[in-house]
Amino acid sequence: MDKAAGKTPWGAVVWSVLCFGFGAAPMAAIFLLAPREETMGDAQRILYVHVSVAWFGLLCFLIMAGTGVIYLLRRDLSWDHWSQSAAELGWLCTALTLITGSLWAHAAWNTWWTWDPRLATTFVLWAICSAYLIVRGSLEDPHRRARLSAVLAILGAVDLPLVIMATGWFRGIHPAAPDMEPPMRAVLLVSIGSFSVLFSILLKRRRAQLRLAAMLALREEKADI
Amino acid sequence: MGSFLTAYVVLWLGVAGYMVWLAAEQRRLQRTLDASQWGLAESEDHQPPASKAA
Repeated sequence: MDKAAGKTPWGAVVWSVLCFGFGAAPMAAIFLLAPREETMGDAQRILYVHVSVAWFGLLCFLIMAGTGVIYLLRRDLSWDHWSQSAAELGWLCTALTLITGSLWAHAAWNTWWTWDPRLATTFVLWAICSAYLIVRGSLEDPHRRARLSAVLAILGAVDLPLVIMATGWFRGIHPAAPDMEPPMRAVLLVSIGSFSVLFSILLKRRRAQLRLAAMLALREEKADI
Repeated sequence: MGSFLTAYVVLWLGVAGYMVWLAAEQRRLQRTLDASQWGLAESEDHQPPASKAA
């Protein structure tokens, strides 16, 4: 079992300190270092977290599809644990992307939502992830659950290039990659890096929990026999 | 200013909520693990001598 997920109190302390550090670093950079944008004012600072959670959400979908493929090839449930862990975090990150994006849209476009291609494809991605988690929750047999989930994750990954390329392939109002001042770009990179590490820690911890839960279920099954 | 603050509050509520849920799940698993280990130890202690020899 992973030490951070076990009894060791030091593991929990280190875990908490790391989470606090990687959560506080981007906040300090955004509030103290990022210059105030002239047109949008403080509302522009939403961009730093919006891009960070959006990036990790997309990465989670890539992990789901990748580990899904590996599961289908090897039939090893440990890959399915990665997949579930990524799906839960991907769902959260995509939901946060939609919410922070909507708040940004209200400040920039004076509307909470518009069916812009980037927004629509991201919403579809979130809906696919919700369906994936509902399907997982409704199946008891671990291998059947892993098989169906892997197929759903691979089918869902078809939406990924559409989300990424939406601003280039279709006409919409979502900004593609706006020109930024060097200090703003640096803060954005710090934010993306810190949130990626924070979410990776959470991803790994959840995966350790799922492995422990599977081990306990197996032990219970053996005890029943 | 309102949208900007709301975005950060929502973000941290989401992340903190997920972390609290993870901690609760960890406690639940730990309790199950402790109970199962205690159960195993119990069954080994109370095994009749004949079955131990077998």
